[in-house]
This record gives sequence, C-alpha cells and structure tokens, in this order.
Amino acid sequence: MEKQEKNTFKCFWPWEDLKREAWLRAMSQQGWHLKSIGFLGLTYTFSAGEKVEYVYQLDFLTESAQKMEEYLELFDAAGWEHVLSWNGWQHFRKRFEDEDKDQIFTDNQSKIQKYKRVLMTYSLFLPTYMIVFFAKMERYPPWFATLLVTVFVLTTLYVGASVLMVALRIRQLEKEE
Amino acid sequence: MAKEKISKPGLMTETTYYILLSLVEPLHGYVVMQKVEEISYGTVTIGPGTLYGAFSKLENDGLIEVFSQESRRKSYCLTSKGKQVLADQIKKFSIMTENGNKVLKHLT
Repeated sequence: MEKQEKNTFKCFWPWEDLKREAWLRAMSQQGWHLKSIGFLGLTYTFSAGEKVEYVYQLDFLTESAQKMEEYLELFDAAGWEHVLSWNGWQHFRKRFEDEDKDQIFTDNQSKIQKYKRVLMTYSLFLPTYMIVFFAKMERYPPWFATLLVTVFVLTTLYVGASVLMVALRIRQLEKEE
Repeated sequence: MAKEKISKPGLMTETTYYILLSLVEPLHGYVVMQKVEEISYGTVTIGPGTLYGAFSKLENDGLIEVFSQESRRKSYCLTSKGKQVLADQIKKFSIMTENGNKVLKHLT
C-alpha cells in the first residue's frame, strides 16, 4: 500500500519566505501537499495526492478572530485555500494557472506592509531577551548562567539577523517603487 | 506617515484609485476584485492580500466605510470625504491625460 503521509525535516531562516513558497510548490508537483508544520517549524507533514502544481504564498498577519474571518473570506473568494497558520505565517495555496494572477500581493506597497508586520513582531523579542539577560544572572550557579548566556546570545543573534534581513528586504522593495 | 499618501494632493496608486472607483456603489470585497479587473480591461489585478491591507488603510483614513455586514461578508462604500478625494484625483488625472494626448501625436 502506498504511504499516505510523510514528515520532512527542513530548515529555513525566518526571512526565507519566498524560498519556502518555492519549496512547497516543488513538493506539490511531486504529489506531496502540505498538511501541517511542527511546533518549531522544522518539520513539515505532507499528505500524498495527485501531482497537481500548487502555488504557495505566505502572508504574515496576526488579527482578532473576527478580523481574521473577513481576511480569510477575501482569500477564499479569490480562490486561495488557507492551508494553515504557523506563528503568524498564513499559508495559502491555489492551483497554478497564470503567474500574474497567482499573487496574493499585487503591489509593492502591500509587500512592504507585510514585511513591516514581520519586523514589528520580531523586534518585540529583542528587548525581552535583554531584560532577562541583565536581571537574573547572579542568582544562578555558574554552569546554568553560562548556559543561559549562550541561549540568550544565540537567540538574540537569530532574532537580530532576522530583523536585519527583513529590514533589508523592505529597503529593496522601497527602492523598486 | 504612509497614511498621508492618500489624502495629500499627490497621486494615489493605481490600486487605491481603482478600489475607490469601484466603491462608487456598495460592494463586497470579492466583487471589488472582479470589478477592478473588468473596468481596467484586465490591466489591474488586485490580490486578496493587497485588498485586505488597502481596505484597512482606506477605512482608517476615513475614505471608505462599512456599508453592510452579513456574517463574515462585509461590503464597503465611499464616505463623503472619499468621494471628495476621488473627485479631486479624477480631475488631476484628466488634466494629465489631456496634456499627454497633446504630446502623444508628436511621439508616434
């Protein structure tokens, strides 16, 4: 019997949304369609299906439940299926028809707005790490403090790099305008 | 800062212009997408992500308002401020087109 589902390990940086879209699209061409994403965003579950080419597009949005419904309604009416939401990243797909029409964003301004929402959310994390970092160190045994410092430094670098890369993307889009 | 773009005398984007034009009568979001494509002879397509952002922005700026709401489907229409801003914009575009047409003869 054919396998119905598979889990794939894949690592993307937060700013690689376009790369993620392209990868999901390539998977759909092989008959693997996105079903869910693991908690940490490193594992993807696909279900087996027809080899249909889906165009995947990602938006970043966190809204109240009511606003979210209106938002999804617009996508639904335009023929986009909302596959899942993962930490604010909204995953949409549509059967490939026409490269021009298969776009959820049709101007630069709205792409810039999307990345600004990403930037806002990720930036919020930076000061949080700093506060924890400075406030509690003396209370812990040295080995634990070292561990904490390492975790905080790595996380801050990760978030910092994300913020920087997204900011660069915004600048690029603004230049194109 | 971005808010000023619409109401200031400058030119509005093609997307904003066509959304406002289509909302001269109350319409649901998905109809706006269809109508814009139709009246622009297919030259302007508005994706749902772009439309959602544009609606929020135009509503915040007081240019459009919710006309009716049945379950999760909302329809919008122009406010009086929206009508004024759109009328100003149309006049501006008319002058631009008029001047453009005068020059066009010499270009072809």
